[in-house]
Amino acid sequence: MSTHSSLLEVFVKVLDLPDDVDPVSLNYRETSSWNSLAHMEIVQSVENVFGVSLSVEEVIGFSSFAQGLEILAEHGLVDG
Amino acid sequence: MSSALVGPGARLVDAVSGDVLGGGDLRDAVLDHREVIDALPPGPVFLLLGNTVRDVLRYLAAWTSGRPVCLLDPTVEPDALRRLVEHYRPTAVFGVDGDRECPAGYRLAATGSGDAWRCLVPDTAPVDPRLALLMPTSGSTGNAKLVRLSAPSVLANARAIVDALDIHADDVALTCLPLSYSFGLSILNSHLVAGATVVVADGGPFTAGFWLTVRQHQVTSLSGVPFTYESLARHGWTAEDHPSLRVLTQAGGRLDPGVVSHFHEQLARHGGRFHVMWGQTEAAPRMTTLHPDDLPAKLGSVGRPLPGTSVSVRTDGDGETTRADVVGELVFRGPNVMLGYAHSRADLGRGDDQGGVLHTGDLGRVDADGVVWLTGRLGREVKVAGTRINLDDVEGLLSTWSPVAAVWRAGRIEVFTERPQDVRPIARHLGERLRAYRSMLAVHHVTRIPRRANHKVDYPALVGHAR
Repeated sequence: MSTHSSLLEVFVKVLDLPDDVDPVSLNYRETSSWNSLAHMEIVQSVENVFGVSLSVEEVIGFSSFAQGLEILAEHGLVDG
Repeated sequence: MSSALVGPGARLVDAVSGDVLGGGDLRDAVLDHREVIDALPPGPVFLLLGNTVRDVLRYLAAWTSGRPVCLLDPTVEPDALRRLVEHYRPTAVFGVDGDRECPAGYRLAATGSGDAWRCLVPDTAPVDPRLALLMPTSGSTGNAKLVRLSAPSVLANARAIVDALDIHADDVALTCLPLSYSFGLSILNSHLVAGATVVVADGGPFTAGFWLTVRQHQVTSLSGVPFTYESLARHGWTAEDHPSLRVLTQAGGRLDPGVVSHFHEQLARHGGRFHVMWGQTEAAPRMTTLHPDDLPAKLGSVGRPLPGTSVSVRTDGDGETTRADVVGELVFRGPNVMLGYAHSRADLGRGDDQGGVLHTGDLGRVDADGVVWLTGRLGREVKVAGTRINLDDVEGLLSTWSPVAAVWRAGRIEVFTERPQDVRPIARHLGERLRAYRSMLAVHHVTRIPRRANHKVDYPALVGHAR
């Protein structure tokens, strides 16, 4: 499974979103179920799924789907 | 007496703008808001208290006005707020934004303290003159029970904390917990009483700009619930990066002793302190503190009672005892104990139901050195991310799908239903009603909810139920 689809699966599961949600729309300010507790759950889930360990700065920076992909890319998780 | 909450030299700093309010400017700013409250007919007021300087000024205005103020989370669900307004008929509700629907019997009015709901026919039932604060006991379940706190009890606790934590006028605290939460409010109160500085910010250690604020304002003291420290430890946070920090405090539930050691050692390395505390809203709110001098010997405990307070143990067999290491319900005594609970407007006229004694509902023991150890909780209240939630209230929210059974397991509220088709609708409803705790909820199907001979739900059996 690609990084993109695995990450989307994390969001869908933690935030209880429809499977066909548009990942571009996912960000901390605008996705209503994405609150501070859910944020930590997303981070924990990402760490488990991808086997990475995120720093406090990365946790704070993980505020949209796109930024999540960038952070994972810095950990060497790049699609294709 | 009541105005003593703000000690000489106390300052409020707006984390966003950097604006500083202190001395006569702070007093005048509070007075501006207070004039609005003073012009109202007698009776309690409600305040949706967010983490902003303006809301802190509103809170201080209500405090100095001498009338009780009920402090509520600004994100309180409309249903829960409506129910509280119906039960307590406040003279006015401050901090309501335009999106909220004004309840029956009220009208939206622009005031010198922002938009407010004004009661059309104020309730004239008497209010105990000592009553200063009203605080909900549980998160978002909509339970209308409030804790009644007197001004002297809140002040006594704030001063005891100043002593126990050695807070000085040159300390700088950051409001990293919601101010509508009793522990968050206590951080504000104790630093104001000490004449210290409080940087008012919205958001915790995992929100953008938080650590920049700590550096910019040379913050000396931060506070958190177990979740805060577990997360910081897991993500490799180190105190060394933030040399201004001298005191970290933790309350709101049990923190793993390994995490306590971790932070204690980090802070001790550069002369700082990590304090575990035990508190309840009913005790205005803090009761004990574990001083780093007692580490590592007392690791895993919640430390000693605050100055001027005491803890004993009540058991079913022997009644109340101060004998060491007897396990039972912890009984707290001190000037910070609430006047009692309220369930309705009429209860605001009640006097002191407690006499300075609080049966905490927490199970534990006091060792030979006077150190308190918690072992569990009586009844059905659990702490979810620092907020108390009654599992019976959770079941009450789901009465449409009865029978359901709610338990606390592995750091989550888990709800069981016997009908598989109900899992999705229950999950959706619960997620909406307890939105803030959404990620800590789970709903499962179980063939049969286990019951005891008396037909009551066998919760221990349910907790042991395999997924």
